[in-house]
Amino acid sequence: MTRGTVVCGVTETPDGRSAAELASALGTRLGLRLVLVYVVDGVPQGTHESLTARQRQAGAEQALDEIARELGEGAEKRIMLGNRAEALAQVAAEEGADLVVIGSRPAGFGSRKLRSTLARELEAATPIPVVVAPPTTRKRTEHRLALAADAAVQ
Amino acid sequence: MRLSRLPLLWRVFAINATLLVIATLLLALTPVTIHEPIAIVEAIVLAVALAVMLAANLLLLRHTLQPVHRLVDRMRKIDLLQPGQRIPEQGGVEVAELTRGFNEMLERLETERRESGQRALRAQEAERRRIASGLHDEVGQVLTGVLLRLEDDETKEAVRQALEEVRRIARELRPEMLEQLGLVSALTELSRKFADSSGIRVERRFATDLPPLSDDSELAVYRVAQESLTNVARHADASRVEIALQPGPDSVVLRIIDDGRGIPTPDPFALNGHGGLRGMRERALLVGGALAVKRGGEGGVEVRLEVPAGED
Repeated sequence: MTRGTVVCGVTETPDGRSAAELASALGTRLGLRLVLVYVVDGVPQGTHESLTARQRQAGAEQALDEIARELGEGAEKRIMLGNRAEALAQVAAEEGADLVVIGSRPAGFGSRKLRSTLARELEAATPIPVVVAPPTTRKRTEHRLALAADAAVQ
Repeated sequence: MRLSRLPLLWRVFAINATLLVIATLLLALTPVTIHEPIAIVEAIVLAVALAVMLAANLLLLRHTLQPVHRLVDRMRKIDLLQPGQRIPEQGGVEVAELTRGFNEMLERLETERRESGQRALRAQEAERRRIASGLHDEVGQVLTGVLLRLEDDETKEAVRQALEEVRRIARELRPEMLEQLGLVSALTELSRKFADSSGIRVERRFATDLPPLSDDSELAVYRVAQESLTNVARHADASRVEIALQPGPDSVVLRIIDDGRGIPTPDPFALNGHGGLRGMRERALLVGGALAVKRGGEGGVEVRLEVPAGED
């Protein structure tokens, strides 16, 4: 049986990798298909065949392959061009996603808050629930993740 | 009451009033004087004060009007082929009201588009059935009659080929197998005929425990499969194609994966002149499904369609 789908926006940064790890863990725990999305932004429309765009796509493919390899087998990969929020929303719609996972940066006093401009933009771009992964500086134990996943199932 | 909750008019007024009060207080409480004629130092002080006031005014007004710009920006980007996008109701009273009105308009537009799209597709299918019936029953009969009267073998062969072609077109226009034997049989027949005509090896993986689908959803799956296989034959330069039908979470998932040359861009929907892909996406949307056309795992192209299960 084909399972539900979690779409994850990844980048080469620690925040992007943290999001990929959380999405992978959630996918395994909840039995969801994982689609990793790397968005190459800042490429103007109609210039996707330009040398710069092709080079950036090649770099993105390499980074995406590396992240997928680190997570183990089973993750599907997609490269998109354009605005990050719009591209992620488009992939989430196309893949029939149940959940979108993205990274964040610590903010506020003592880094106790999460900053994610992308989450705010996604709020308008997609009706699909968005999960903001905490940055890697935070401790995430298997126990906490298991509790979170169980709560999500209920 | 918080400033951000005030109507836009009062927020702009409050900003300007605050700046004017500050300027007045500075003039009243500080020893600044302006002589007639004005001294250079006084002119400089006056110019700097004016520049500071204008800059503060600009910054504060820009911050106040930012929600309006954000709203306009989102309005420009809304894509009706990606339904469900709604703008969060943020900003002052007017902006929130405008956003609410826009979201309600989107809701109406999406409903209208869905209903008119369904009507158009049903009309298109009815027209296809009528043409197929005409081709099969009338043109087919005439050609069969001609065939029986002919004596020259070469002409007979040409008419036989024409008759076969007319039947093939009629079959493509009206998937009788779908109506009579169901989706799996229709896709089996479609892929068998595709393999015969294209010479491309087809691997079928059809699950036996598929949930029931509505007639519209079955037709959407069939038409997407048909269009995808046509694209493979025309553009992919593939040697193998896999067609799979599997149950999903309250859904059915169709996947067609070829090992051809792939697509030149990560987002084929962004390309102009790909009416076939757009048609596939519209069909998927009209039955509440999701369609992805993307690079396959081993090169080539993967088409993935997920439609909700249910007989209504």
